[in-house]
Amino acid sequence: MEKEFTELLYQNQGIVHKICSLYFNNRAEKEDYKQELIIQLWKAFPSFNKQSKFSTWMYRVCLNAAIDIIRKEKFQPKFIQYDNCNFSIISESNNEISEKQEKLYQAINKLSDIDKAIITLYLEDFSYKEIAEIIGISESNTGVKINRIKLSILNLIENGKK
Amino acid sequence: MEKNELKNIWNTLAENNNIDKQITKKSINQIITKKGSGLFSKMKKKVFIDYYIYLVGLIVVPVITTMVHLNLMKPLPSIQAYLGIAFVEIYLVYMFVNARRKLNFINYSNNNLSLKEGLISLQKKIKKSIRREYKLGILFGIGFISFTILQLIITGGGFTNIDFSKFTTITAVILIAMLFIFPYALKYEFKIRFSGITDDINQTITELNSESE
Repeated sequence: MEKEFTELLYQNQGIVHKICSLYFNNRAEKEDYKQELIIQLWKAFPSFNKQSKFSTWMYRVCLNAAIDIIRKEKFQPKFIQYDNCNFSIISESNNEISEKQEKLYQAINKLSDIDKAIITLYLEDFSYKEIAEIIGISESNTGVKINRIKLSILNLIENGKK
Repeated sequence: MEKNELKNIWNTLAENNNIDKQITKKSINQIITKKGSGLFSKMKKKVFIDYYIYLVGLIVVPVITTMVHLNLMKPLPSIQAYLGIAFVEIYLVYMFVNARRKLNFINYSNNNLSLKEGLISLQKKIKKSIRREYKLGILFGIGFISFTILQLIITGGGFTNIDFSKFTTITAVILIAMLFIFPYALKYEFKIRFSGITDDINQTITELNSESE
């Protein structure tokens, strides 16, 4: 089981990086969060029934774990150590990223935890049905929420407000 | 806004973060076998130590007090001694319950549920934890206040010799009043302490339940 998990995780590790970047980019212990997500995935792995794709299952567990970590930290605030609250992808070394892209990225990061999860799944080309299953809402509600989030992002870019 | 535009940034972000940061198969194996390097594992170790320190303290203080009673065959020399012990115990109870709650939360996981179900589950868990902590607070708080009142009355000469000009009697009366106020004060403190997290979760669940935003 260990070997199978390691292989599957290795192939899909981009998901861990993406979720960490989205939820914990401004935290000092980003690598610790990555490790925590991997441990949570390993703990949940026996329940992976192979009815869905591994990546779909991984998104579900990672998003749940990330949001869970944030809630737990809020409940036990003395453990949190923030680096700073302003962060940027330009500083991460890519000069090709335009100002507009930077704004878009920051806008996504200003969304609520759940909205971030919805837009992430949408951008990863998950179907409305799959997003609805992972989030736990209806398909029609998923569509409504995606449109609302896109509008929020647009407002965040133009006015700095949702 | 076009999906492609968003998707571009998303992919750029993923690429940026993957550069030089590939997790090797070996490190995956180390992470899942050691299990001690994760964020919550670090928290857990710290909380575990606190948990046992407070548990030992909680047991040792009353045991020593009882032993002193038995050895001297008389009450402690002053009211302050009782009050001191009572305060130490209350503090230990509070810290012990806090550590216990932290441990429960660190161990708790709902990763296989949908995000909404996970939040509902976490909400239930928090409510349960708050209720348990409140009951324990009430139990120990009232227990120790009652114990202190009893000791004060005994020190003051017993129920038959109650004299309202005595310091011990006045203190006992104040503590009796505290007995009635304590549950409300604790409830208020809990409301202040937990409203942030519970309101946040309630609001998110309401948002998820709403079909017509």
